[in-house]
Amino acid sequence: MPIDSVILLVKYFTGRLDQAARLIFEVKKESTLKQIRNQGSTWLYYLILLLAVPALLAGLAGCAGNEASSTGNDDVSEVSEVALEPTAAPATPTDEAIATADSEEVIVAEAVEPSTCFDCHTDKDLLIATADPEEEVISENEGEG
Amino acid sequence: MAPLEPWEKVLVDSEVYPETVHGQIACVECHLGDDTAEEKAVAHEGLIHNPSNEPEATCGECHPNVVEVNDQNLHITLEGYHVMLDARSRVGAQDELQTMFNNHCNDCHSSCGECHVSQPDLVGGGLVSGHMFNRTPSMTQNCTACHGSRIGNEFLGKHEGLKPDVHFSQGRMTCVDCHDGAQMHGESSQCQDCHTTPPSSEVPPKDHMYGGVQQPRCETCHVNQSLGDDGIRMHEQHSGDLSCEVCHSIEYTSCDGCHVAISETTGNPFYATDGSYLSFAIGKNPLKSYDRPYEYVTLRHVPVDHESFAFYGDNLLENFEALPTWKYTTPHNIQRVTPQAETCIACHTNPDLFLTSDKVAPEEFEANLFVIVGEDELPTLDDLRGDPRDAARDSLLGNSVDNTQDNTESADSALSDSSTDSQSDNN
Repeated sequence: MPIDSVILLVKYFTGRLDQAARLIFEVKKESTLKQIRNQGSTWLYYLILLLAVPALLAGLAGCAGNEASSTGNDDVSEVSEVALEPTAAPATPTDEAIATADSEEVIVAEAVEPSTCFDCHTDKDLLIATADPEEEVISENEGEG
Repeated sequence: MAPLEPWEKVLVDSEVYPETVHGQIACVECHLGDDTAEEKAVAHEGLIHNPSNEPEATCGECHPNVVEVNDQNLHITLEGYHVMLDARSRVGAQDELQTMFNNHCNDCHSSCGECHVSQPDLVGGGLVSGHMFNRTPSMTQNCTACHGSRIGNEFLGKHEGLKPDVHFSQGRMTCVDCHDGAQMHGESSQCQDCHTTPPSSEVPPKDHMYGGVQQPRCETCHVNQSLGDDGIRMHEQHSGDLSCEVCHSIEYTSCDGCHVAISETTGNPFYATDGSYLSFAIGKNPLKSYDRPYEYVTLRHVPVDHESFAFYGDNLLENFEALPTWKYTTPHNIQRVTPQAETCIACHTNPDLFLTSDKVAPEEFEANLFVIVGEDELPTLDDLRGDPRDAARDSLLGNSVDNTQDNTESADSALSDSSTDSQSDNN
């Protein structure tokens, strides 16, 4: 850190900024003084920040606490659970589904609800048990096709 | 491809499929039937086995851009069959040929689902992966399930003693690496949107496999080789007049004498072919065009003959000579080094490689007149005059040749240089 800045800082905290500036003015050109004044301003800003940031954080913490207490509401909790369900509607919902639908969630629930098609076609043993016997087709083709 | 058990064909993946986009659609939306019935027979009443046979009402709901070009999709239109039958048939034979077509050819058709969901019906159908909709079809369960006896066997190296295609064995490429979705669906590819000149060249819809703009083409990836500026003498000399397969393909399947009929005992349609064999024949290009400018290409014998459809009527193929029976072909067994391209003289002293008149059946001679290579057109050692490799010719002929080039380089070293270039180029 330049010595000028150190002097300025010391004088600032002792309430003698102008005196410090004059002192430096005696040994430096005007342009240098302007630079030092600016540096003095920068330090002032740093100080303000040091004081303001903790206050801001404390304020935010208070707000967060209020929000946390408001999410304890049961209704909102239900919304979160619903949001975990698939939200895409079927490409072409059935008339029945549309007629009984009070909300988008109901339509989705009906569309993805396991059907007898799904129950059977995901059950290997059931498929084996209910498979039609395959007709043996004797090819009459001769040679490569 | 091993056949699937009946239950395997219809088993839906209970874990993954419901989580997919298509899994959000109720089964009956596409397949109809009754999803509340407990009994199989009732549940299957009115069932549509393959909903994509009516693509506008099913797949087209969400994929209209694909379905709208179905009339350009050879997998769906089978237009190639019609083009060939129309060209060879006599006027007034269309009804008989249409009946024949419906009985014997119409099954060679592929719907959306037969590529993206299940195996083709032609090979018995069955879900490929638990009803998942696969963006990329399976090479063995979809593509070569139909295109197996020629393309699949060549590409995968299933012919005894013949290597698989280098794109498969070394490149680990599958069908879709060259045959992209645009081609499969009948869409024009991006290049073709602009490069449709000259006016005589066709753009899709194609009327047969080799119609229109060449797609795919070797030159897309092998640019330097196709321009002959990769330092390989053979490319320099022949990149314009020979199709790539002339030098880089090995033996491939040809077939003879297919006849179709309806069985008297079962009433089922059947076919019988006279022969299927490995062949290699270089002939004149029957489809020479702006897009396929090659003088010489590889030719495959197709199984049609004058009496192929005689069961359905007399002399149906009255214009049999309108098209050659040795057809333009692009074998899928590409190799870096082949017997005919190993050296210059391997081809320039080997008439066996060419479709000469003695290899064509007399009854098919007229049909193939324009693809047969005449005796005076066969490449000779004299064609190599002026090349440093003339030394090889000299040693074979045992005489001296008036060379204008510096022949200090031996033929062997010249050829091995060329071979080395080829190797490094392809690496």
